[in-house]
Amino acid sequence: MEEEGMPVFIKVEEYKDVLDIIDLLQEKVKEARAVLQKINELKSEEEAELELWNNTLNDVETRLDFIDKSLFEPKY
Amino acid sequence: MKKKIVQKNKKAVKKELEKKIRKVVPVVEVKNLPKFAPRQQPRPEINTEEFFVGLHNSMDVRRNMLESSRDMIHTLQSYQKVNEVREEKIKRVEQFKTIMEELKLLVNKLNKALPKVQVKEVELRAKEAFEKISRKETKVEVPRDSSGKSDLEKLEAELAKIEGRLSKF
Repeated sequence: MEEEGMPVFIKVEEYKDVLDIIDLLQEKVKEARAVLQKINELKSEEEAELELWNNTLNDVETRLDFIDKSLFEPKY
Repeated sequence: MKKKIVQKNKKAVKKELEKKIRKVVPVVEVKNLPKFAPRQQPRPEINTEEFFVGLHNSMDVRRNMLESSRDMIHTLQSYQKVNEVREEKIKRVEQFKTIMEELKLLVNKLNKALPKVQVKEVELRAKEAFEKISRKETKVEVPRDSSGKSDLEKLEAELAKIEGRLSKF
Protein backbone atom coordinates (compact mmCIF):
# COMPACT_ATOMS: atom_id res chain seq x y z
CA MET A 1 0.00 0.00 0.00
CA GLU A 2 1.25 3.43 -0.91
CA GLU A 3 1.13 6.32 1.49
CA GLU A 4 -0.71 9.52 0.81
CA GLY A 5 1.32 12.21 -0.95
CA MET A 6 3.76 9.77 -2.47
CA PRO A 7 4.76 10.57 -6.07
CA VAL A 8 3.41 8.40 -8.90
CA PHE A 9 5.57 7.54 -11.88
CA ILE A 10 4.22 6.53 -15.28
CA LYS A 11 6.20 5.03 -18.12
CA VAL A 12 6.88 7.51 -20.92
CA GLU A 13 5.05 5.43 -23.55
CA GLU A 14 2.07 5.01 -21.29
CA TYR A 15 2.20 8.68 -20.37
CA LYS A 16 1.82 9.61 -24.05
CA ASP A 17 -1.08 7.20 -24.32
CA VAL A 18 -2.66 8.75 -21.26
CA LEU A 19 -2.33 12.23 -22.74
CA ASP A 20 -3.88 11.05 -25.99
CA ILE A 21 -6.75 9.43 -24.12
CA ILE A 22 -7.30 12.58 -22.11
CA ASP A 23 -7.38 14.63 -25.32
CA LEU A 24 -9.93 12.26 -26.76
CA LEU A 25 -11.94 12.39 -23.56
CA GLN A 26 -11.97 16.17 -23.65
CA GLU A 27 -13.13 16.14 -27.26
CA LYS A 28 -15.88 13.68 -26.43
CA VAL A 29 -16.99 15.71 -23.45
CA LYS A 30 -17.22 18.79 -25.68
CA GLU A 31 -19.18 16.80 -28.23
CA ALA A 32 -21.52 15.49 -25.54
CA ARG A 33 -22.03 19.00 -24.23
CA ALA A 34 -22.91 20.28 -27.71
CA VAL A 35 -25.40 17.45 -28.24
CA LEU A 36 -26.93 18.05 -24.83
CA GLN A 37 -27.25 21.74 -25.67
CA LYS A 38 -29.03 20.81 -28.89
CA ILE A 39 -31.37 18.46 -26.98
CA ASN A 40 -32.20 21.29 -24.58
CA GLU A 41 -32.92 23.62 -27.50
CA LEU A 42 -35.21 21.04 -29.10
CA LYS A 43 -36.96 20.52 -25.78
CA SER A 44 -37.51 24.28 -25.43
CA GLU A 45 -38.79 24.44 -29.00
CA GLU A 46 -41.24 21.63 -28.34
CA GLU A 47 -42.44 23.25 -25.12
CA ALA A 48 -42.91 26.56 -26.93
CA GLU A 49 -45.03 24.85 -29.57
CA LEU A 50 -47.13 23.15 -26.90
CA GLU A 51 -47.63 26.50 -25.18
CA LEU A 52 -48.73 27.92 -28.52
CA TRP A 53 -51.26 25.09 -28.87
CA ASN A 54 -52.59 25.91 -25.44
CA ASN A 55 -53.02 29.59 -26.33
CA THR A 56 -54.67 28.72 -29.65
CA LEU A 57 -57.09 26.41 -27.91
CA ASN A 58 -58.01 29.14 -25.44
CA ASP A 59 -58.56 31.62 -28.29
CA VAL A 60 -60.76 29.19 -30.21
CA GLU A 61 -62.77 28.47 -27.08
CA THR A 62 -63.38 32.18 -26.54
CA ARG A 63 -64.42 32.68 -30.16
CA LEU A 64 -66.72 29.69 -29.99
CA ASP A 65 -68.40 31.15 -26.92
CA PHE A 66 -68.91 34.42 -28.78
CA ILE A 67 -70.40 32.63 -31.80
CA ASP A 68 -72.62 30.58 -29.52
CA LYS A 69 -73.91 33.69 -27.78
CA SER A 70 -74.48 35.45 -31.08
CA LEU A 71 -76.48 32.55 -32.46
CA PHE A 72 -78.63 32.29 -29.37
CA GLU A 73 -79.35 35.98 -29.22
CA PRO A 74 -80.80 36.73 -32.69
CA LYS A 75 -81.71 40.22 -33.76
CA TYR A 76 -85.06 39.28 -35.29
CA MET B 1 -141.50 57.12 -76.63
CA LYS B 2 -138.04 58.57 -76.55
CA LYS B 3 -137.46 57.22 -72.99
CA LYS B 4 -138.46 53.69 -74.04
CA ILE B 5 -136.11 53.79 -77.00
CA VAL B 6 -133.22 54.92 -74.73
CA GLN B 7 -133.93 52.13 -72.17
CA LYS B 8 -134.03 49.49 -74.92
CA ASN B 9 -130.72 50.77 -76.22
CA LYS B 10 -129.21 50.64 -72.73
CA LYS B 11 -130.30 47.02 -72.27
CA ALA B 12 -128.90 46.07 -75.68
CA VAL B 13 -125.57 47.72 -74.87
CA LYS B 14 -125.43 45.95 -71.49
CA LYS B 15 -126.09 42.56 -73.08
CA GLU B 16 -123.42 43.11 -75.68
CA LEU B 17 -120.91 44.09 -72.95
CA GLU B 18 -121.71 40.96 -70.92
CA LYS B 19 -121.25 38.81 -74.03
CA LYS B 20 -117.84 40.38 -74.62
CA ILE B 21 -116.77 39.86 -70.98
CA ARG B 22 -117.88 36.19 -71.07
CA LYS B 23 -115.72 35.64 -74.10
CA VAL B 24 -112.65 37.01 -72.29
CA VAL B 25 -113.33 35.57 -68.79
CA PRO B 26 -115.46 32.41 -68.92
CA VAL B 27 -117.57 31.70 -65.88
CA VAL B 28 -116.91 28.32 -64.30
CA GLU B 29 -119.87 27.02 -62.45
CA VAL B 30 -119.17 24.78 -59.46
CA LYS B 31 -122.16 22.92 -58.23
CA ASN B 32 -122.72 21.31 -54.81
CA LEU B 33 -119.51 22.73 -53.37
CA PRO B 34 -119.73 23.16 -49.57
CA LYS B 35 -118.87 26.56 -48.27
CA PHE B 36 -116.01 25.31 -45.98
CA ALA B 37 -114.72 22.10 -47.51
CA PRO B 38 -112.79 19.80 -45.05
CA ARG B 39 -109.03 19.39 -45.75
CA GLN B 40 -108.38 16.16 -47.61
CA GLN B 41 -104.61 16.04 -46.96
CA PRO B 42 -102.75 16.71 -43.69
CA ARG B 43 -101.12 20.08 -43.28
CA PRO B 44 -97.60 19.99 -44.74
CA GLU B 45 -94.69 20.38 -42.27
CA ILE B 46 -92.96 23.71 -42.11
CA ASN B 47 -89.77 23.74 -44.08
CA THR B 48 -87.26 25.20 -41.63
CA GLU B 49 -84.77 25.96 -44.39
CA GLU B 50 -86.99 28.75 -45.50
CA PHE B 51 -86.69 30.56 -42.17
CA PHE B 52 -83.84 32.90 -41.39
CA VAL B 53 -82.56 34.37 -38.18
CA GLY B 54 -81.03 37.81 -38.21
CA LEU B 55 -77.84 38.15 -36.20
CA HIS B 56 -76.70 41.26 -34.39
CA ASN B 57 -73.06 41.06 -35.31
CA SER B 58 -72.84 38.79 -38.30
CA MET B 59 -69.52 40.25 -39.40
CA ASP B 60 -67.94 39.47 -36.04
CA VAL B 61 -69.33 35.94 -36.11
CA ARG B 62 -67.95 35.39 -39.59
CA ARG B 63 -64.60 36.90 -38.62
CA ASN B 64 -64.38 34.71 -35.51
CA MET B 65 -65.13 31.60 -37.49
CA LEU B 66 -62.49 32.42 -40.08
CA GLU B 67 -59.92 33.21 -37.42
CA SER B 68 -60.67 29.94 -35.66
CA SER B 69 -60.19 28.06 -38.93
CA ARG B 70 -56.91 29.87 -39.52
CA ASP B 71 -55.70 29.02 -36.01
CA MET B 72 -56.60 25.37 -36.49
CA ILE B 73 -54.57 25.24 -39.68
CA HIS B 74 -51.64 26.89 -37.92
CA THR B 75 -51.91 24.30 -35.16
CA LEU B 76 -51.85 21.47 -37.68
CA GLN B 77 -48.74 22.99 -39.26
CA SER B 78 -47.24 23.28 -35.80
CA TYR B 79 -48.07 19.61 -35.18
CA GLN B 80 -45.89 18.67 -38.14
CA LYS B 81 -43.12 20.82 -36.75
CA VAL B 82 -43.39 19.23 -33.30
CA ASN B 83 -43.18 15.78 -34.88
CA GLU B 84 -40.00 16.79 -36.68
CA VAL B 85 -38.57 18.25 -33.47
CA ARG B 86 -39.32 15.03 -31.60
CA GLU B 87 -37.67 12.91 -34.28
CA GLU B 88 -34.63 15.17 -34.17
CA LYS B 89 -34.58 14.94 -30.38
CA ILE B 90 -34.67 11.13 -30.47
CA LYS B 91 -31.73 11.16 -32.90
CA ARG B 92 -29.79 13.52 -30.66
CA VAL B 93 -30.49 11.42 -27.57
CA GLU B 94 -29.18 8.35 -29.43
CA GLN B 95 -26.11 10.36 -30.41
CA PHE B 96 -25.63 11.41 -26.80
CA LYS B 97 -25.89 7.81 -25.68
CA THR B 98 -23.24 6.78 -28.21
CA ILE B 99 -20.89 9.52 -27.01
CA MET B 100 -21.39 8.50 -23.39
CA GLU B 101 -20.56 4.89 -24.30
CA GLU B 102 -17.41 6.09 -26.05
CA LEU B 103 -16.54 8.15 -22.98
CA LYS B 104 -17.02 5.11 -20.81
CA LEU B 105 -14.63 3.08 -22.99
CA LEU B 106 -12.06 5.86 -22.93
CA VAL B 107 -12.28 6.17 -19.14
CA ASN B 108 -11.76 2.42 -18.83
CA LYS B 109 -8.79 2.71 -21.16
CA LEU B 110 -7.39 5.56 -19.10
CA ASN B 111 -7.94 3.56 -15.96
CA LYS B 112 -5.93 0.72 -17.42
CA ALA B 113 -3.19 3.05 -18.64
CA LEU B 114 -2.74 4.70 -15.28
CA PRO B 115 -0.83 2.91 -12.53
CA LYS B 116 -2.83 1.42 -9.72
CA VAL B 117 -2.73 3.95 -6.92
CA GLN B 118 -4.91 4.62 -3.95
CA VAL B 119 -6.67 7.93 -4.02
CA LYS B 120 -8.96 7.81 -1.02
CA GLU B 121 -10.77 11.10 -1.38
CA VAL B 122 -11.64 10.64 -5.01
CA GLU B 123 -12.85 7.14 -4.37
CA LEU B 124 -14.95 8.17 -1.42
CA ARG B 125 -16.60 10.85 -3.53
CA ALA B 126 -17.17 8.34 -6.29
CA LYS B 127 -18.69 5.93 -3.78
CA GLU B 128 -21.07 8.60 -2.53
CA ALA B 129 -22.03 9.43 -6.09
CA PHE B 130 -22.68 5.77 -6.86
CA GLU B 131 -24.82 5.43 -3.74
CA LYS B 132 -26.85 8.43 -4.81
CA ILE B 133 -27.40 6.95 -8.24
CA SER B 134 -28.32 3.53 -6.87
CA ARG B 135 -30.94 5.15 -4.59
CA LYS B 136 -32.80 6.48 -7.59
CA GLU B 137 -35.03 3.66 -8.66
CA THR B 138 -36.67 4.01 -12.03
CA LYS B 139 -39.41 1.73 -13.18
CA VAL B 140 -38.92 1.76 -16.92
CA GLU B 141 -39.40 -1.11 -19.36
CA VAL B 142 -36.02 -1.76 -20.92
CA PRO B 143 -35.09 -4.06 -23.81
CA ARG B 144 -33.20 -7.24 -22.87
CA ASP B 145 -30.51 -9.00 -24.89
CA SER B 146 -30.05 -12.74 -25.51
CA SER B 147 -28.47 -13.31 -22.07
CA GLY B 148 -31.65 -12.01 -20.47
CA LYS B 149 -29.91 -8.97 -18.98
CA SER B 150 -31.00 -5.50 -19.88
CA ASP B 151 -28.57 -2.62 -20.44
CA LEU B 152 -29.64 -1.17 -17.13
CA GLU B 153 -28.93 -4.43 -15.30
CA LYS B 154 -25.53 -4.64 -16.97
CA LEU B 155 -24.72 -1.13 -15.84
CA GLU B 156 -25.90 -1.92 -12.33
CA ALA B 157 -23.67 -4.99 -12.26
CA GLU B 158 -20.74 -2.93 -13.46
CA LEU B 159 -21.48 -0.34 -10.83
CA ALA B 160 -21.58 -2.98 -8.09
CA LYS B 161 -18.25 -4.31 -9.35
CA ILE B 162 -16.65 -0.87 -9.16
CA GLU B 163 -18.11 -0.30 -5.73
CA GLY B 164 -16.69 -3.62 -4.60
CA ARG B 165 -13.29 -2.64 -5.87
CA LEU B 166 -13.55 0.71 -4.13
CA SER B 167 -14.52 -0.83 -0.83
CA LYS B 168 -11.27 -2.79 -0.86
CA PHE B 169 -9.29 0.40 -0.48
